[in-house]
Amino acid sequence: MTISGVRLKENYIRIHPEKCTGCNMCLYACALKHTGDTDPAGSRMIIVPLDGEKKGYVPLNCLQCAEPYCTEVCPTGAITRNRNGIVSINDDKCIGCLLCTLACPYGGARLDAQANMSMACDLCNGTPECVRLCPEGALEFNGIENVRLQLENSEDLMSKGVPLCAGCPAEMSLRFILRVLGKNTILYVPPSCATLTITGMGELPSCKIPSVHGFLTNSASFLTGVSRHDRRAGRRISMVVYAGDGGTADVGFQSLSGAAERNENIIYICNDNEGYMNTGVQRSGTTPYAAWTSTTPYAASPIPAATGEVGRGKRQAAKEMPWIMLTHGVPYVATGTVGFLSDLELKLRKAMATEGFSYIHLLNPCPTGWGFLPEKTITLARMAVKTNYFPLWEAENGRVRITVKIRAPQPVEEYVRLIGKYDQLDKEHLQELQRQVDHRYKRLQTAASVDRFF
Amino acid sequence: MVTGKELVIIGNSHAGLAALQSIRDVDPKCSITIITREEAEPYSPTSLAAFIAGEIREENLKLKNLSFYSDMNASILFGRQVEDLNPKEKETTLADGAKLGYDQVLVATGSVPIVPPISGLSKKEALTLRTVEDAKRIMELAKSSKKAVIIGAGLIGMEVAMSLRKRGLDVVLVEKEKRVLPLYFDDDAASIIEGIYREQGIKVIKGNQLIDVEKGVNAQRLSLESGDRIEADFTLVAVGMRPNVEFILNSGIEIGEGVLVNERLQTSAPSVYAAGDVAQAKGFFGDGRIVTPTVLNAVNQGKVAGSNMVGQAKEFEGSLPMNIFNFFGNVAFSIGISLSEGKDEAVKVLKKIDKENQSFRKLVITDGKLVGCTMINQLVEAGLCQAMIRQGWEVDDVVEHFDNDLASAFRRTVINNSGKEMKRQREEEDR
Repeated sequence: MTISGVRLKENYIRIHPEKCTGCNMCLYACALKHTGDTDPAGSRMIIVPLDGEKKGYVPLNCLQCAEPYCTEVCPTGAITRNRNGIVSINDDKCIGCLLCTLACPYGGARLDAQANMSMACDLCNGTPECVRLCPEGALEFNGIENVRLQLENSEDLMSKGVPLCAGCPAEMSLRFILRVLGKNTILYVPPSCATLTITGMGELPSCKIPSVHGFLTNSASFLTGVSRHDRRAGRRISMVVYAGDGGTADVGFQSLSGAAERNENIIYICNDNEGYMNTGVQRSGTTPYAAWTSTTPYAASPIPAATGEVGRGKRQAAKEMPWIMLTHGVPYVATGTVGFLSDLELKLRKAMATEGFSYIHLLNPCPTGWGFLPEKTITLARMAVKTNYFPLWEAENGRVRITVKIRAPQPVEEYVRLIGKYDQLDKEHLQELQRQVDHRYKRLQTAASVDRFF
Repeated sequence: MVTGKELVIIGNSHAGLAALQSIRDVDPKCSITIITREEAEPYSPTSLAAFIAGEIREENLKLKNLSFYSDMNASILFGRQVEDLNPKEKETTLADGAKLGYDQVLVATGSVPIVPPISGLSKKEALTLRTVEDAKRIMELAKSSKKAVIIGAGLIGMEVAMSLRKRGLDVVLVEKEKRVLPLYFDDDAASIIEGIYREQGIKVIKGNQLIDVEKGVNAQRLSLESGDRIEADFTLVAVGMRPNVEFILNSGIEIGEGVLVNERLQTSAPSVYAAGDVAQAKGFFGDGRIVTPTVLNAVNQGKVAGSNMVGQAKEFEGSLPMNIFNFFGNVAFSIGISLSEGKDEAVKVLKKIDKENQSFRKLVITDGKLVGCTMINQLVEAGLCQAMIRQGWEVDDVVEHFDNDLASAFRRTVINNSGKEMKRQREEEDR
C-alpha cells in the first residue's frame, strides 16, 4: 500500500485543521465551481468531524500524490498529471468504473453521482475556489503553479528566442529571475555563456532592461560604483550581477570578495555550470571531484590535458562558493535551481528586500558540457537536490535554514549516472564523491542547528 | 543503478506496464522488449463493457500512447505471439519462429475466457469478451438483435448485461449458482443487486445451466438444465476466466491454477517472473497462493516483479480479493473476506440490510481487525476500507458508528492513522 506516495509534490492544498470551523464554505465553493450548484454532494472535498479527545474538523481532499496510484490502476488511462503538474481526471475517458476510488487510500476520489463518473480535486487547474473563499484561512495553496500564476501578469523582460544551446538552464533561470525582479533592475553580465542572453544576435539586445556586458574581473566593483551613485541620487534599483562560475569563483573573485566585505548593495547571482563551458569545457574552481572536462580528461581521452592532469577527471573537490560567501558575513546567502522555482522565487524576493550584499548560487546543469540530452535539464536540477549533491538552503544574517528538506535522499550515484562527464567514474571515486556529499550535508545540518552561524 | 540486463516482458497490459515503469525507476539503461499479441496501443479489458454501451469512444480506450514506449526507452513488438519459453537456454520462441534471448523475463499474459463444453456451441464459435475485437463483434450483433442471453452472472456478465440493456436489448442472465456475483457478494447483498437489475428490465435465471444450443433460421434456441427453453439472437459466454499459460506448459515451470510464484513473484525457474491475472501468488490472508484477476492486483504485482527483475528486492504484500461495481448509478464493492456469515465464534459480522433504499453494509472482523467489507450505495469510500484492511488499524470507532455515520467513522480512523503512519515512515527514513 502506497501510504508513502505523498512526497515532493509540486501542487497541493495545505490544510490547517486547527483553523477549520466546519462552516462548509469550501464544499459550496467547490460544488458551485464544478457542478454549477451549491449542493455539497458535488464537492470534491469533504469535511470530516473529529470525535473523541481532539474535537474539530478536518477537510479531506485529493492529496495530489507525487506517485499517484490512481493513475496506474485507471483502465482507460483517464487520470494523468497534466502540463501544469496537476493530477486530474479526463472526463472523455472516464467510464465510471470507480477503480480509482478503490485504490486511493486517502478517500481522494469519489463517485460523482450526477455525471456517473469519478471525481477528484483538480485544484481548479491552478486557482482553487475553496482556498479563495475559505473565511478562516484553513486552506492554503502551495506549489509551482502558484508561482506561475503570480508571475503570469509580470512582463517577460527577455526577447523570444535566445542563441544558447538547446536545454540551457542559464537562459531559463535568467528569464525567470528577471520576471521576479521586475523592470527596476540593472543587470551586469561578465563574459560567460549568459552574455548571449543580453547582447542578442543582431543589432538589438535581447534584454529589455539596462544591461551591461563588462569585463570578467570586475563585475562586483563595477556595480559597486553604479549602486553607490544610485543611492546618492536617492533611487533604489536592484543591482544584479549574473556571472558564470569562472567569473565568480576564479577570475572575478577578488572584486566579489571585496564588495562582499564592504557589504555593497548588490545581488550577486552565480550561474554555476561547473566549468568554462562556452570556451570549450575547461575545468573551473567549481568543477566537482572526478568530473571530466577537456582539461581534466580520463586516461583514455584522446585530448591531452593542458594542465598535465592525466587520469581520472578532476582531482580536487569543488570550491564551495556559498560557504565562502557566507563566511564573508554578508546578510543573505542562498542556493537555488531551476528545478525548484517556487523556492527560487522566494529567495529572490528576500534578496531584493535585503539591505546590503546578497549572494545566490544557482546550479545550472549544462547539456553541452556535461553530456546529457537537453530535455533532461530539469530532471538533473531536481536529482542534484534529491541526492543532497546540491542541497537548497539559505542564510539570513547568518541563520542557516535548509529550505527543501529531502526525506529520503538517494545515493549520489543516481545523479551522476545520468551525466556523461561521469561516464568512466569507477567505484572508488564514486565512494569518495559520496563521502564528500555526505560530509557537506552533515556540515550544513550542523550549521542549521546552531542559532547563528557567524 | 545500471544493470546492463536484457529484459523481456510478455504482455502489454496493467501488470506489464507497471513492471516497465518500476524497472525504469531503477535502471534507465537496460534493454527492455515488450511482446504483445495485440496489434496496437494497450487497453484494459475492464473498459470493454463501457465501450459496448457506447460510453467511451475507441480512441479513448488507449492506456498509453506510442510515445510512452520511446519515453521509457523500451522496444515493443506488436502482433507477436510467444509460442515457447525455454528457461534453460533463457530464450523465447515467437510464433513466426524468431527467437529472443533474455536475462530475465516477465510473464504477464493475463487470462482467457473459459468456454464450458455445451452441445451445439463449439469453442471457436462461442462468443466471449476479452478483446476489442470481441467487443466490436458484440456491438455489431447488438445492432441487428432484439434479445441476448448471457451465460454467467459474474462481473463481466453483469456489466455486459447492463451495457446491452442500455442499448435497448432484452437481456436474460443465466447463472449456475443460487445468486448473482457469487464470488463477491453474499445472498443478501446479491439479492439487492439482482433487484436493481430486474427493475431495469433484465431477466435473471439462477441455479440453472445452459446445456444445448440449436441454431434456428433467425434465432438460437437454447435449452437449460431445468428443461426450459429460451430463444435469443445471440449468446455470450461469461462463465469465468483462466490464466493464459498455454505457451509455458512445456517449459517445466510449476503451474497450479496459474503460474506459481514466490513472494518475489519469481516462478520455479529463477529467471522467469509472473504477475497479474496469470500468476498464482501469495494471498493476503493465510498461507495459500491464489489467482486474483483484478486490475489493482495486476498493478501491485507488476511493480514488485519489475523491481525484483533489476535486483531491487521487494516482497509482495499478498493479493486481496476485491472489486467495485457501478451499475445503473448504484455502487457496490466488496473487499477481502466478504462471504463469511459469522458462524465461527472468532469472526464477528456486522450487517445492515435496507431493501427499501437498496442499500447494504457489512463488516467482517476478526481479532479486532477488519478483514472484510461489503457496501452497496453507501457513502464510505472503498479505498479507505482497503487501507483499513491492509494496515490492520483498530476498528472501535467504525464499530461504534456502524448504525449511523459510518462514512465519517471510516474517514476519521484513516485520517488519524495515516497521519501516524506517515510520521513513523518519516522517522524511519530520517534514521
